[in-house]
Amino acid sequence: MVPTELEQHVAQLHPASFAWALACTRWNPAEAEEVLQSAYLRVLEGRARFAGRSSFRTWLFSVVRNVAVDRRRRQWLEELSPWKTPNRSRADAAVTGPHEALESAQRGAQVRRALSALGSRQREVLELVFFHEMTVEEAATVMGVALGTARAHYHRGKLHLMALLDSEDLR
Amino acid sequence: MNPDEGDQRIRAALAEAHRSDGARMPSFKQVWTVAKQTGRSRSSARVWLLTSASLTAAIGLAAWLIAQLGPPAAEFPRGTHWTGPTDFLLRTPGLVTLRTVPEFGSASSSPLLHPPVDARRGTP
Repeated sequence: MVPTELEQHVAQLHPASFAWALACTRWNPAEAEEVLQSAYLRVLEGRARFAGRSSFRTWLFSVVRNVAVDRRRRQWLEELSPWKTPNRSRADAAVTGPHEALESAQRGAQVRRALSALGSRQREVLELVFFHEMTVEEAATVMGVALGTARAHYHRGKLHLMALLDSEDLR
Repeated sequence: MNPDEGDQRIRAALAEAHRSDGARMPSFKQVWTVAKQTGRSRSSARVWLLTSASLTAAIGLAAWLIAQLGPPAAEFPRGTHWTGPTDFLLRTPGLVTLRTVPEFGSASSSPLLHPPVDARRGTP
C-alpha cells in the first residue's frame, strides 16, 4: 500500500480507532492517545503490515489491541519490579480531576463503570459487535481468538453486562 | 425482555459510553505527526547504535590482528627453576655427597659410631 493511501485509510478510521483504543484502555483518554500513537508508529515503521487477509479496519483494530495488551503487560511488570516509576496515565488517575468527577455523575460514566467491571475479552467483543458493528467473526480476528471462544465471550458478556446495567439502574 | 431488546439496550449503553469521545479525541494530524517524529528519532538512534557497534567491532578486530601479527612472545622458564646451558659442567662426581647434610641426631644414636662404654672397655 502506498504511504499516502495508507495515511488516508488510517485517517478515515481515526475516530473509530480512538473509540476502540479507549475501550482497550478502560476509558483513559491519555493512555488511549499513547496507544494510538504507538499503533500508528508500528504501521509507519512497517512492523505491522496489512496483508489483505481481513478488512483494513479489522487489521488496524487488531494492531491497536496488540499495542494496548503489550502496554498493559509492561505496566504490570513495572508494578512488580522494585524500580517502578510513577505512571502518569493510570486508569484510576483519570477519574480524579474535577471535570471527571462531574462526568462520573453522568449516565455515560455509569455505563463505562459497568463495562469496566466485565472481563477484558467480554468487554472487547461487546464493544466490537455493538459499537463498531462488526460480526463476531471479525471481532474474533481482532482479538486474535478462535470464533468459538469469541462467541462464548459474547454470550457471557451480554448476560453479565445486562445484570450490571440493572444493578446500576440504567434502563 | 426478548433478545432484540437486550441487544438494543447494550447498543444504547455503549453509544452512551462513547458520547464524549469526540471531545477527548486528539486530531489525527497530531497523533500521526508525533508517531512519525518518534519513528524518525528511533531510526536515527538505531543508525547511531549500529555505527558505533560496528566501529567498536572494527577496532577490536584491528587490535586482535595487530596482536597476532607482532613478534612472538619470548619464552621464559616456568616458575623459579632455571637451568643454564653450561650447568652440566658443574656436575662433578661426589656432588651428591657434598650436597648432603649429616643428621646429627641419627649419627649419635648409631651403635657402630658410639658403642656403649662397657663394650669399649672389654671384659677383664
